[in-house]
Amino acid sequence: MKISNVPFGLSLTFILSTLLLSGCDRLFEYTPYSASVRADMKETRVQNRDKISMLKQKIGPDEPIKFAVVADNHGYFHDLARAVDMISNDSSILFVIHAGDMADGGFLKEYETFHGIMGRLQKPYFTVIGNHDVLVNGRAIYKQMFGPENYSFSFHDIKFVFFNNVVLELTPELPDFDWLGQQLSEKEDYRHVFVISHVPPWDDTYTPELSEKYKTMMVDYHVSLSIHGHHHYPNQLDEDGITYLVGGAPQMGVYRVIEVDEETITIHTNSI
Amino acid sequence: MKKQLPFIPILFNGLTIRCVILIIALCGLTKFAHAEEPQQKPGWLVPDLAQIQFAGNKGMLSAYSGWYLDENKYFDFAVGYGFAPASQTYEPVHKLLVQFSYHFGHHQFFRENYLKPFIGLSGSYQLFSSELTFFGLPDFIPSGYYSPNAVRAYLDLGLELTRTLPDLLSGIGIYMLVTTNDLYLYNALKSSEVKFMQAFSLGLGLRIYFFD
Repeated sequence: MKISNVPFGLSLTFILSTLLLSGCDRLFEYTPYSASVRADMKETRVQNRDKISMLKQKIGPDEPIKFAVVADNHGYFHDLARAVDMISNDSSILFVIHAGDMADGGFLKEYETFHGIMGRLQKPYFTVIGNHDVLVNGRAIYKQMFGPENYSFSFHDIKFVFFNNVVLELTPELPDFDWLGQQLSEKEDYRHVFVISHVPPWDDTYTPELSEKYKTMMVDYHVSLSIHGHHHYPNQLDEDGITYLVGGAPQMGVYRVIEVDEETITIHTNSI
Repeated sequence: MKKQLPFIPILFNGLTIRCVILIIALCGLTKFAHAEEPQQKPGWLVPDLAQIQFAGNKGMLSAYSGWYLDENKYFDFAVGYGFAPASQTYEPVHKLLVQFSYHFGHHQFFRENYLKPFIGLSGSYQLFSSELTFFGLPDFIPSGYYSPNAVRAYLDLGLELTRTLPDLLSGIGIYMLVTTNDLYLYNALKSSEVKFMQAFSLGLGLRIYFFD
């Protein structure tokens, strides 16, 4: 064994630095590719549904409601946190919708960071899965952390339908339009129906046939608003009486607030 | 819900432990087959060392064969395989690993014991993953749409305690390392919401040195 000519003082400094770093949050980690969600982060949607039920008892069916829309934070968690802090301080906003791409690479650590930030809201929040969220083991993580990809909930006579419409990455799997049609067919029971899906129907990853199919369903079922992410710049398209809204990413300095009155829907764009 | 197996049975179970035993046994057999020439390495392909590691981002358990890169044994290179069972990571994880280590200090104490701080650079490639874990993009995704996500680079900072065993092996060492990877470091540097310490985790390991 050769003796090193590196002074022991230098080695000692290195050793102490290493020991300092060993005070890390997670003691042993097997791999960044793990999809095993911590027990306290599982089935978050159940808790959020409970919070919605409590809100419904406080807010009457005829009262106007406000909810916020954020999307596409990817790895810009500090921008997401700024939006979350602003939304938290606005007591008129009842809940938050995230229109997808909460993670950048579909890694567990990204999902955990997102979960931690959204947990500061003290308001219920609901997510739709985005194309970046499905990468690596992201789909398995999403299902454990939040629940099924396609789901809906109602707030009195307003229905919110969350629809996985990621096409490109899930080839050859197609969005479950039968499920969407079934959800929208109950339109008569609701004053408004909002559909939240990550990819806007005019995106390049949609074929013209799929785009037409989605738009036709929005028209046929008189959907009040189709909410999307994916394109990071806030955008809005009105076509055939349907408004398609792209929320915009917090790193672009915006989030949206949707105000729903008895008959009118007002879209506000808030700067971060 | 997947069944959570107890920790110890997993550590000493199935494919992982068999791979570790195989690698160490092959290296050991080579050593003892030439017991009459303990200082003489039979060929450059024969590994100089074997290593097993628990955690540290390289799988629940990883096993390596390694070779010295310089006469003073400051630098070495190792190739290995890392595994984590589905009970721990939801989906089983298989990794092909490469590792460069620089043991920059060999500080002797109590005769045959050495304290060896080291820096390591490692790389991993995910094996047997889904189509959405890729090095080259799948056919259905346009070129350049995503960066490769099946490969990761790791930085290891560690400390090894080695004891020379001249009558049996060249030496045996136990080590602790602090590790991070490109993804975690990038996120920590990119966003203040990700604390720097969150980018690091620990690993523990054992090294067996076969040749002087």
